[in-house]
Amino acid sequence: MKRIQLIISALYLTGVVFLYGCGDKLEGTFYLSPEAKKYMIDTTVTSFKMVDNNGITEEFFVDGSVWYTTHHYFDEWGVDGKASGETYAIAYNSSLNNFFFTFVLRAGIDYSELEMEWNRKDMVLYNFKTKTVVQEPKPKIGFFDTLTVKGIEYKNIIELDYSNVNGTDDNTPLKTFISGEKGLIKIELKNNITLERIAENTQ
Amino acid sequence: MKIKILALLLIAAFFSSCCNKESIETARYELSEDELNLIPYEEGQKINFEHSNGYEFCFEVVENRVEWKEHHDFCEWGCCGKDYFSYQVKYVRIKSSYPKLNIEFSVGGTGYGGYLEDLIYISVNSGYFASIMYDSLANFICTEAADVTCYDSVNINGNYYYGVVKKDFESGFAQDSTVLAIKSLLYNKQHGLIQLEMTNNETYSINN
Repeated sequence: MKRIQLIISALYLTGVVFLYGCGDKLEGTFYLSPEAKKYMIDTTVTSFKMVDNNGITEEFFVDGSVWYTTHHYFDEWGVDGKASGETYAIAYNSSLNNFFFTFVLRAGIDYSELEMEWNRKDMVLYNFKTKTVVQEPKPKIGFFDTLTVKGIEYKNIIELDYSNVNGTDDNTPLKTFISGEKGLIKIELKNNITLERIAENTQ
Repeated sequence: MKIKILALLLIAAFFSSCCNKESIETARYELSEDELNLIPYEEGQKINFEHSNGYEFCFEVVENRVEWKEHHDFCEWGCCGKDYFSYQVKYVRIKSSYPKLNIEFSVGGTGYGGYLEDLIYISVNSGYFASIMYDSLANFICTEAADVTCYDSVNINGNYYYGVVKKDFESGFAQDSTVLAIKSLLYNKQHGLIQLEMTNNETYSINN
């Protein structure tokens, strides 16, 4: 009996030593790549209106009840918290349709990644270093210098295209266009509805 | 031996915590036929609506149920065998695919025991809330305290609607009051929801 207890104790100790001892400890501060930083949306713009192709107005606003307390922060990693990664996050809610969209830029050890999610249902993760979507399902992601919407030219454009992906949520747009400066600028829904951002001084 | 005593004590404590007294129902509040008719929808029904710029869409009644609920006064200790009363609630949900609106109506469970006035509760997308007071004959109360505007009739999309109340929503999603929001609703006993009005004056109106 004592021998069995001794073996169990030895196995437990071995496991603990293995878990704590494996790998090098990660230390340091890791920053977003210059390419990723181009898409840090202006957080002073806290709301903006869109109008759809039927003349219905929608308004998006920065959601205050989310996981982050500031948009730009350093996320602590590891057991002892000696490593941290630069992180940028913004989340939008909408007044009429209750759309919810999150946009996160995150620094890894030697890469930066972009995470976007619609309505807490469909999430995509893009690696700026490998220029690939990291996990299934894999919508297309494109980058453009400019896009003109309702007569206004926006810069640093990301296009998120779910039109090649089956089984997404009904309320996830087929296409989403985001300006790295101003945030969401255009979305195309599955029912041929397109919402486009209108100038800030327009109703 | 000690272990046995401990086990016996635990078993005794377990059984002493069981409640053998039956709770007594002291009252049953059933919704009257008039109250049930305050939310005049049938499951599967489709209701045509139109945006003020001409876009037509429809709501579908996706839930319509009447159920009994129990009201128990809050208690932390000695709750065994406490009295309670039962009340009936009618719950209806309508939804549209675009604009993406999910509207819930309920009646019952507020006026019993003098807790609150009799009310119809209405919520849109779980973010905008309004309530409309009614009296013992299930007529809408139009006094100042009820905080509604009552109209004998309202003409919408060429049709007259009678006995209409207008009620402002009590809250919205955004903390910033300048952000677009659903401002108010028009409602009557015959048709239910007649119109939603936005803070930018756009409207979504019934279109029979």
